[in-house]
Amino acid sequence: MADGGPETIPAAPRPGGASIFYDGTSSRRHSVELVLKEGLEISENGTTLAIWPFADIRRADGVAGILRLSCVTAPSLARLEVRDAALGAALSA
Amino acid sequence: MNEMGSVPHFPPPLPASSVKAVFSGDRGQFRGLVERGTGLELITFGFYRFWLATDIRRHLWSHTSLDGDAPEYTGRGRELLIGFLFALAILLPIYLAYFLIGIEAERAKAFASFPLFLFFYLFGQFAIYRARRYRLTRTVWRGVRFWMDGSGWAYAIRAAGWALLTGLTLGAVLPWREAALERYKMRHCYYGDLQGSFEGRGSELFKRGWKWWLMALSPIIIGLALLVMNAGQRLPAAQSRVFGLVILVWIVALPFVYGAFKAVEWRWWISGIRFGEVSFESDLSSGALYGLYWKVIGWFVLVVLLFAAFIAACSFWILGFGDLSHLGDRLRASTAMMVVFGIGYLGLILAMNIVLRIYLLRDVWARVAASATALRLEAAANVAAKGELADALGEGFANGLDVVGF
Repeated sequence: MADGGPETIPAAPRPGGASIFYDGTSSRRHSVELVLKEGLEISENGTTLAIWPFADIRRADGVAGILRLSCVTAPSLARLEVRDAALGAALSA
Repeated sequence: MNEMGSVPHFPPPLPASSVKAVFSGDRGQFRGLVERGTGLELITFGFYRFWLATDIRRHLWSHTSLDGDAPEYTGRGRELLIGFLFALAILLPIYLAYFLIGIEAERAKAFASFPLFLFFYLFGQFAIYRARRYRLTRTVWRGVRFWMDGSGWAYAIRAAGWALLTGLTLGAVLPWREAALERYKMRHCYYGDLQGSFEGRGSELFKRGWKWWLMALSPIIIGLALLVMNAGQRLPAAQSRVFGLVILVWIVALPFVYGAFKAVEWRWWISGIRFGEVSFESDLSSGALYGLYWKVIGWFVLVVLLFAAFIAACSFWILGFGDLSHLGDRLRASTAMMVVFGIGYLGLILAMNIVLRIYLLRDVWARVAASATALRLEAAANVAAKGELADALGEGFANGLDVVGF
């Protein structure tokens, strides 16, 4: 609420848009950029929120068309939702 | 609520942000899941049910989305199995004791087993409360879980008190019972640090549902009226026919009445749910569920007919046509026929399980979920995670006692 006003609650997911990250400590929706380095780097506006080692990433239940991921070495409820099909395919591989 | 009576100083933020829930589950996929699961239940002597229940929930949860995000069901079949085994270890000695004491006590004095009956009722209600707690703590939305505190026993005592009142009033206080119990449950529900509450009122449910309740009781009411009119004498033939007709109409109308009542109840329930500032609405029409109940009845008739045809075919095949006059005795004497009955009965149960799970679980869920709208969902946009996982003991009890409820 504080940082962005009512505009931060879109009515529907933007297809192919940025990935969404929930850090597992709050329900705040982070629109994040993903960078594939030695791990999966999750950053929001240039600030790195988390780095997930590839080997620790697991798939979680999610809506069809969205790849929902968790990480065994991150907070157990932290979730990353990848809405970009190409990136999703790259991560699944 | 409290601003509603006064004139607002400035126009309220109209319209309050509303987000419609979406159910996107594929029916064929669900059917496949249930059919395969039911087959596995057969092979595993029913023990697969815990994994099937888990798969069903994972399917339903993950295909119901609110504001683009679907909740995730994180429960596991293993947890349900352990909960069930624990419950069994506690229930089995009680069942045995109940059986032995019940017989002895009943011999000494009729109704002596009432305290035991009460005990089992309380246990069932306790199980319902704890089962909801388990399901909630396994539900995660946007990286934050739901959870529940409060006491299952305190709930069970309330439920028993209300059940007594309901019985005494032939169900007239049922709406107030539901409202009171739901209030207790919901104020102990949380999403992260956001506390739930329930604002549905018994009087509101009564207002919407009384005609269905009256229709469900109509044969009793008309029967009593006829008895009073004839002062306990035998009914004249014309009145007997009228009463027979009433019963017939009642039987045909019952799925409509029940379906309408369930729809009214769902809508009332959803519209009463609050989590902090977030509230819900439902536009489920009272006719939304009729069709499902009729389809279940249709399937039931079909399955029973198939069962009868199977038994008939097998008995002719095993016993031959021969003398039909002692067919009954010969059927009972044949071991092969017992096996055939067993197989047929198992098939009937499994087929009905599939039908019930598809129509009364998945289809009802799909309709109810799609009818829901969340208002002021932004109040849940930055909720801090909180709450511990609960064990599956309640679910185990619910399975052991065969109680249903949420």
